[in-house]
Amino acid sequence: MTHLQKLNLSGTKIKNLNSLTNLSELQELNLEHTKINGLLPLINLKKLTKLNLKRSVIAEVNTLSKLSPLKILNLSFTLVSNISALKNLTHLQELSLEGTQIEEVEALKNLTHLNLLNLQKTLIFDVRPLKNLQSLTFLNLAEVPASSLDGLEELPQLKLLFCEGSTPKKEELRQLMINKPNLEIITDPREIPKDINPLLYDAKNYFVRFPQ
Amino acid sequence: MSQLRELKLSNISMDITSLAGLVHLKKLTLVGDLIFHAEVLKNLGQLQELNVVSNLSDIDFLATLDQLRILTLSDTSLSNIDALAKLSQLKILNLSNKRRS
Repeated sequence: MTHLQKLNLSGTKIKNLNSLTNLSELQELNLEHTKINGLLPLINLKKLTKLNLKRSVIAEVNTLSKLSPLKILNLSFTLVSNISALKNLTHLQELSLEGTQIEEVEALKNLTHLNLLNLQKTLIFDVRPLKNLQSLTFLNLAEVPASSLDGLEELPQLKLLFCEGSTPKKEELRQLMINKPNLEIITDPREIPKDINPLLYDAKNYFVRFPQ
Repeated sequence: MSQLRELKLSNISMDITSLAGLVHLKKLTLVGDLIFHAEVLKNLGQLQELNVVSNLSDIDFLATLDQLRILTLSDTSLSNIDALAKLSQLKILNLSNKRRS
């Protein structure tokens, strides 16, 4: 199996990743909804570009700082609360931290290739560290406590912003719309485009709350 | 039918021992309650892609399918995948389980 490029173990009973240590050609790894007990066995997977840990019980992600080729990373609904390891992942293009207990995004401020960022249901108060993310196009801030959208007007590529259930005042949203006429702001989940990237908006949550 | 290269059987609940003769199969998909002796697949040495969605518990029969490049074994109750270690051509492996316990 040493030439394996894609591996999907989602929903399996795997706990220990030691058997993956030598999969040096691995590019995509899906561990969604597993009870894995640590990421250290992944440390030498130098070709890994896509990693899905959604709904796994992982709490500590320091090993990720060594996986610099990562482009797509899903940490939604994990137990992660500290994301400082992500600051070295400068190739990241898509990142979801939905439903985690993170309180700040300082670690993301130099991830200039980031195109999609999902912070729904996190505990973010301050979005200003995002202001230098030159490539950021899709941003989900639904259900976050951030009271101000200060900094977002500086994002040149921003096209789609979710604000459902977050605290910014109507006046501030209107100002952002005026400053950025090409930006689509979504405050009601029923307006969500059908072809939305699931990493940006958890489709399962959406259909549970708004049955068709 | 012995020249058949691709075969897909969905929602099956039948004996598939007759597949043994399809020695040229390169791609095979089986979905359903496989009431069969899985060892029948041992004979399909040309298989490059095998997709099985079924409650398999034993996959020792896969060890000889050394041409496999793509393998999906979904909704199984496997506790051991040692049989896959020797599949040197394997590029894509999907063991995902949607019927979550």
